[in-house]
Amino acid sequence: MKVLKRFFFSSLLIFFSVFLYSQGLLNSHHDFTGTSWSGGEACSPCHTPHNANMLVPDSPLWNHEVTTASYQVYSSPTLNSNPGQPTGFSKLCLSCHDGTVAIENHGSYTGGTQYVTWGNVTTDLRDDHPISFEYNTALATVDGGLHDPASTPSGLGGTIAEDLLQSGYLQCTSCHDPHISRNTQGCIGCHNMATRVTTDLSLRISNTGSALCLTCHDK
Amino acid sequence: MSKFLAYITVVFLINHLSIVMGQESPLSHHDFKRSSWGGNSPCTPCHITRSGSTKIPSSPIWSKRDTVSIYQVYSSTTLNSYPSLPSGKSKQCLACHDETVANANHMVGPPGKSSLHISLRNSHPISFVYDANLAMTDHGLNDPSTTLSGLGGTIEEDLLEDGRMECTSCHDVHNISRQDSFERDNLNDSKGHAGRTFFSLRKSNEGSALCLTCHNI
Repeated sequence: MKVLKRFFFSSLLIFFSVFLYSQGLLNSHHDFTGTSWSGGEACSPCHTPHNANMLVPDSPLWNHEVTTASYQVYSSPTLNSNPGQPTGFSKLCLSCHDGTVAIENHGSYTGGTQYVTWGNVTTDLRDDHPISFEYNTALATVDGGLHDPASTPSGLGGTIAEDLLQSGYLQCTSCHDPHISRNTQGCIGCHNMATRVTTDLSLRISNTGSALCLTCHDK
Repeated sequence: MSKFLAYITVVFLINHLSIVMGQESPLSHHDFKRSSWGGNSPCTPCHITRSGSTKIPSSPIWSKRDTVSIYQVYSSTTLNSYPSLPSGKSKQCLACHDETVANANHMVGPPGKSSLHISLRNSHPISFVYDANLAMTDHGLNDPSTTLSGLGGTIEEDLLEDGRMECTSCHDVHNISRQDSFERDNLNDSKGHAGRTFFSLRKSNEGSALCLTCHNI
């Protein structure tokens, strides 16, 4: 019986261990191929090869409706950076994740009815990590608690500035990559034992042991 | 020798394909046979048997005036390739699709439908070298020298023009084997999707399959 129990729980462990590996877009939270509104497409909910939306500069052939919301931005007496209204890639993420634009609104379609719920950061960003600020050597020097992005390796092959920032700015995409799914904390990274909520953080770097945080924060 | 072979091939195709393409219903967006200016031939709007344009190297006995547009090419902070000004067959596509050279005074349109304008910044980059080196640098592209295209060979063999991505990497204007009709091409579904297999694509983009041939996500 003991042997059977051990075998059973080890099998469970092996089964769930597949979720410890980072995976691609398919089967991630941004995989909309199974929805009726996407037409079975993986790419077109966000991207299009022609006549892309140019509202946000440097957007990657954007095909989703862009948010027009104004935000309350993060502030703190210990903050040395100067976040303004969201820009760049952050604005693209917030075009679903601020809860003001329907998920289905892409291409010429504007009649969507589904809105982000669990990942809704709302238009009040005061309770979220600051974004859309310039993160450079000068900031690191003034702050005293940040690594120099120009020289510190990101863990992805280059420096923080090369791999994680958008034109020197910290954005949502500094931590998140919507094209991947990642379970970074073993079983409890997916399952909350009390509510059985499944989480998918789409982190670019594993945050096991707070490794992602510590890439930039020097603690 | 290769120019002579190209000449013979096109003359052969003009003589034989006109029989295939000259059917009752239009087969593609580029079947101009029924238009008032098409000259009752599916080929002569673009091809000519003598004195073709030589402005673009290796062009298939081109009958069109060549575009003289200067383009703004795609750029992005995440781009690892180096798109040049449109080259090769892309230049021939743009001869109509940039709204500057008309087919017998008929501009491509209505505006926004398939016209690309001189600014290519809101279109997928073209006219850049796509090789194993780019795939390695980008981390989000398949190696074109080894990845199968789905058309029989590799991406490099089937989809690229001299190792470069061009319009013809995704589009095939002749497309006579595809069943899509001109009428279907104009219909969007209720969510605003133009048909996945439309727009003279070389392979179906059902489930974003064409995108995912090269893009590795």
